Amino acid sequence: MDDHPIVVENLVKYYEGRCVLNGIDLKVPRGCIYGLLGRNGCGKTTLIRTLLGLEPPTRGRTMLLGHDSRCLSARARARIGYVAEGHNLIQNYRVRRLIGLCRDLALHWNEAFFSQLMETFRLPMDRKIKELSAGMRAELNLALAMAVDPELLILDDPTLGLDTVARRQFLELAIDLIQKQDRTILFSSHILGDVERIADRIGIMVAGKLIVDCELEELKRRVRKLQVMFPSEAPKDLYITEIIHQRNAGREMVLTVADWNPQKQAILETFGPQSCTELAMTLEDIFIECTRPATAAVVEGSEV
Amino acid sequence: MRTYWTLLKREIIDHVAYFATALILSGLLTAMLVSVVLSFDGSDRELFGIAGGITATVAVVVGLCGLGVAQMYGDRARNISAFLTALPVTRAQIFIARIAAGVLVILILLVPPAVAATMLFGPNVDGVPVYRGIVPDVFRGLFLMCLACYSVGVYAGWHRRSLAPTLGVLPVVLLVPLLLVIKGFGPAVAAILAIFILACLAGTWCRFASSSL
Repeated sequence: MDDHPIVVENLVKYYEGRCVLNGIDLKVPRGCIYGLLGRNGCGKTTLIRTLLGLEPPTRGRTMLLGHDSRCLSARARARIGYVAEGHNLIQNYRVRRLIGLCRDLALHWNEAFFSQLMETFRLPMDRKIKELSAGMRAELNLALAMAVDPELLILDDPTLGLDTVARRQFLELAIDLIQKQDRTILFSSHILGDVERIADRIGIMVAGKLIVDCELEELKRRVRKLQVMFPSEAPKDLYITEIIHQRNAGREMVLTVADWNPQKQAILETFGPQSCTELAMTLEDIFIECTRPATAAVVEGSEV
Repeated sequence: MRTYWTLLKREIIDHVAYFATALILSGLLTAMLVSVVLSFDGSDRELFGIAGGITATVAVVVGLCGLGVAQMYGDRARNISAFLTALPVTRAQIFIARIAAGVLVILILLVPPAVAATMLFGPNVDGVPVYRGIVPDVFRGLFLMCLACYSVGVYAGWHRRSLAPTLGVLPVVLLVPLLLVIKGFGPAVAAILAIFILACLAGTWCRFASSSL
């Protein structure tokens, strides 16, 4: 049994002369729910597609379940469930036919579980895929991915295009399914609240680079947001390393910094602040701070 | 084998119009062959048969090229391989099943007339002045011609990002039957066609195996 179902080594991908993935290194441990975050066009989908062997890498190597992604065997693929961004199903097939095709091609098919899901979703079997709503397509795609009892589940922005109610329903079900069985999951989403609820490890991509790769709790612990009040105008530079973002407004300074420690605290004290208050940070706050264009390089250097 | 069968079944259902047309055309070709042979009296009436044969040949080669284009271009346009490779299916299996479907259409088209011709020109049948030994050579040549036209369609369908440029291969497709008309059904022509088919299919496979889905 491989301890890391997902391994990415120095992955570089150029697309039409543009660097889409720039030296990604990643190892996802078995049983981990990994939340992959990033703004539009940062390379999340390309990374996932490269992992699945749908995109050839320009340089580097990706491995799924111990097999090179470029030559995944049918047996290895049978252990992977994939929900593609936009729910890439064969549009002109009827639901019944698509299910039949997936069932016939699967090496292992949990009919009882699939029937249970279909009963929950109540999908119209005679309707064509292109006639289904985005929510129905998402549900069908999830059901097809889950029916094979995958060891590794890859969800690429599965709630994209769903309204709030459909998204919540989908997520409740997905969380339920995920938590019931011990499996490795790579979950990409723009909805940070969703990721925060289910992920135990986080990766943040900015411009083709993985600038954050650590456990969610560790990320929350290491990135601090401080509101510092000075007696007079706040100093422009604190000479502290690993500042992710700094905003000055008169006497007030709001500072987001990685790896806050007593040494940094001591340096701050030399500027004689009146008060220093720690502000609570959600994953969304951390994400926004980390993906600001000017701060991405700082975070990368800090090796969060 | 179950995977191959499922993929082949999918190809047949998705392109059922081509299979049905091949079946109908095969029946017509067989009927035409039987009619020409049975009504042969040494006059020039067989010229009507030749004219029909030319029309049928053009329809067949264009149709088979169209099948190749429909399979590959349809895949690209509808992201079929991208969906299938997320299942326990490899690109090689998809490609082999697809080519097998094309070969099956050609066999549906050619086997009934070939059987009819073998019987009509058999040792116990007199009346038509045709050398019996030519029948296998002719059908081997026709099979390779059909496969060559289909392979051109497969190649064009995967190498073009839009449908219109694939029409550019039509002159090549129409040249293939002319090769048989000019050079006959000998082993040299068979070798040329076999190399041409291998080149088309190998080129398509290399691109299919390495490109983004």
